[in-house]
Amino acid sequence: MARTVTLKSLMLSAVAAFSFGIGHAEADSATTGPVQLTGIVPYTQVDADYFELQDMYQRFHAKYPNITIHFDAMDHDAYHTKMQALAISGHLPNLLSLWPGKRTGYLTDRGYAMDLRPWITRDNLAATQRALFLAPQGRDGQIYELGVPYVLWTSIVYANKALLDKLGLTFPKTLKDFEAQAVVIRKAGYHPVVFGDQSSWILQSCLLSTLVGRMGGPDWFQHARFGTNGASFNDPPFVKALQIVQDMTTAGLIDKSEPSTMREQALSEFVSGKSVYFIGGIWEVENLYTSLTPAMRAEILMQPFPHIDGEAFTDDASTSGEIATGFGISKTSTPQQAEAAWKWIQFSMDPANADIYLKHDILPIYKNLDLSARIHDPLLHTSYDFSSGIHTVLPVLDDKMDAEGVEQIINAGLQEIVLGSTTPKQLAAQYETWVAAHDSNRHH
Amino acid sequence: MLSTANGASGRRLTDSVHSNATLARSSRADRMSYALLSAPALVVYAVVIIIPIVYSLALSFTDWGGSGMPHFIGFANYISMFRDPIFWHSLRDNGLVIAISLIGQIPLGFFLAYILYRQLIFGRAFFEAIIFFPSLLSPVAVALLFGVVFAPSGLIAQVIGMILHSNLFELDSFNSESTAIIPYLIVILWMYTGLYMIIFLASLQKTNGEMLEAAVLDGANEWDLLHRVVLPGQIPVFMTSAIYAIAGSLKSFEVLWIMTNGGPSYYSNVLGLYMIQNTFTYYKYGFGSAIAVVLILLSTGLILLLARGTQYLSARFE
Repeated sequence: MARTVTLKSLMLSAVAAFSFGIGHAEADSATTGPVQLTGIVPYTQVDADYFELQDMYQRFHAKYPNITIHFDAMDHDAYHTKMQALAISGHLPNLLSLWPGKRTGYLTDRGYAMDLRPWITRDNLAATQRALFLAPQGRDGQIYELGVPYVLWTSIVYANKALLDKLGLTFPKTLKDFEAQAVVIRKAGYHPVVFGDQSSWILQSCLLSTLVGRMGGPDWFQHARFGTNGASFNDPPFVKALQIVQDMTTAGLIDKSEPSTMREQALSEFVSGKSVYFIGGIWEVENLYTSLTPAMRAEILMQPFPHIDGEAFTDDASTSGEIATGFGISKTSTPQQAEAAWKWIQFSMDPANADIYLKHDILPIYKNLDLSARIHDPLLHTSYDFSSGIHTVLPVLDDKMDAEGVEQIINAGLQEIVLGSTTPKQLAAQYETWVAAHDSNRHH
Repeated sequence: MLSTANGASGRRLTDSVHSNATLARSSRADRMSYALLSAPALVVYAVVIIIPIVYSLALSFTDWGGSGMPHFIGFANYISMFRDPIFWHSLRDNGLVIAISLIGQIPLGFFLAYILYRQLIFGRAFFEAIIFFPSLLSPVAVALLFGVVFAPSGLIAQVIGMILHSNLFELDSFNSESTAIIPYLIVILWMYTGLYMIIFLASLQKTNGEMLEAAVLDGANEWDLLHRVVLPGQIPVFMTSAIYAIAGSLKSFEVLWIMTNGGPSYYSNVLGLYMIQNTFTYYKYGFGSAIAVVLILLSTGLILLLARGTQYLSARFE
């Protein structure tokens, strides 16, 4: 009996090993021959991302010499226009540069990109990547893109510590404290907070999204988004979030000139020490890094928005953000090309290649790898600590909802709230009417 | 037979018939030549202008979003557009832009050209150059420059702040729905007046100098010269400039896009920008085509109106 069991076990093991060997060999043989891939990236050859791409590809090609990828680089807006044209004509490249949300919905919502879940499961990506980078992106749980494990935080309160010390202030713990500081700061001849909302998405992306997430919580937002459980954008969390923007304007925290101020001008005011706070996304770190001396970089604080009384989601280590853009695979790819494209995606997420990202001041967050000891610049260290310290990613409105409604109604409406031309309740009602009638989240 | 029977008149008739036949043949040959020689240009015109217009018109009756098959939805896009307050505000802003072009750029351009032509100031070449110079600048550079000048904490605000001893002074005057377009109007007035000045200057050079001398000898003063001799001759140039101004005013948006992005809110939006936003940001190609059709109809209507006006003025001053 024992011998039979042992023999059976051995045979089963042999079959399993043989099958695995076949599977693995099949996977390898799919890419052992020469494979040519094409890809288009939404940044130009003078952007920092392009140099990082070059370094990553150099190392990838050294490891997989049979896989050649031809990348085309172009400006962000031109990229989206071209990709739409290529999708219609059936000539999409193998590698698609995708956003995790609606920005590239014209590809992901229309069936042009492959679902990466089978590969993710097969190669056990969950062992090295945090769950938030493997979160569902499509309505039915699909994952279309993966890239550097990095969150594009859209709402960070940058503070000039030197100015705070000079004015005898500390970073506010609550919104009430924040509003109270406005009077003190203005009296001293400084601007309290700058945003630069001329392009109209800043207030929505860098402030409102966090307020909505805190006041209602991610669960409420999902229900309002899809119109389930009776939730809507007329609900108190959304109205209250808009009300906070109005209150911040009344208190003098947000200036009425913000809707006409360019982001570059706002950043310039912060860098030149005319403003105590600057609210923006994580992308400002690169701008601050080039504009400030090392001594000044050490004086920059980065914090999530302060605690708000009455918030439903009480984790204050939360802020709005989007998983970084990454690569997806076009459905026009052959199985061999798809496998090769997956190798590229997997390679770019491998913690072993973190040094390439660090070299280009990109700070990835891995599951079991702490990079803080390898970061020496004070500002980048602050940025890494901020990213590592956030527990929850709150949704960004323009990432989850249709662009037309967010841009035409919310973005424009926020500016009108600051200018006093509309009220939070009116704006909420207007947006809910539009979403109920047109948003694809409610009309799948 | 005819010639034998009727002599000279018969010969003339025969000659006439032969001549008509020859004329007819050569006319046909000429027409063939004209058709063949102009065919390439017409084909290019059809492909680049006519076909896209017809295609846009067709698309304007669909809900096409850039992929898949377009679905016919009748006049829904037009109804939606005419119900949209942003459309009407953009149309209003376009009206102001046209007005600045027609009653600002063109008359000012003519006035400056006349002063230079009549050499009523010294340093003609210098003034010619500096007035024309802004129209040579890149619109993007101009937009970025004036975006900073008119910004709430830009150059003008800084100067006013210095005068008032307030480093927190901000220029809020252009933040309202009615005034947000004003900085753009100032910029286009500065930027394109020189172009019309050059057009009028070139036209004025062709004015008969002897006629002006004769008028002066007859006792005409400068005002008489201007409105009785020079101005009537410039009517066709005004017409051409006005057509150019209307077309440019309706289609332009690049300076505004960079200066204000149509904001704050939609307060400085124009139809060109409205079309771009709906087509390429919201992927509403059908709706964007409807806006394009409205723009074409507006341009055509205004130009026809102008042509009528020009005809009347030309007839009056003949």
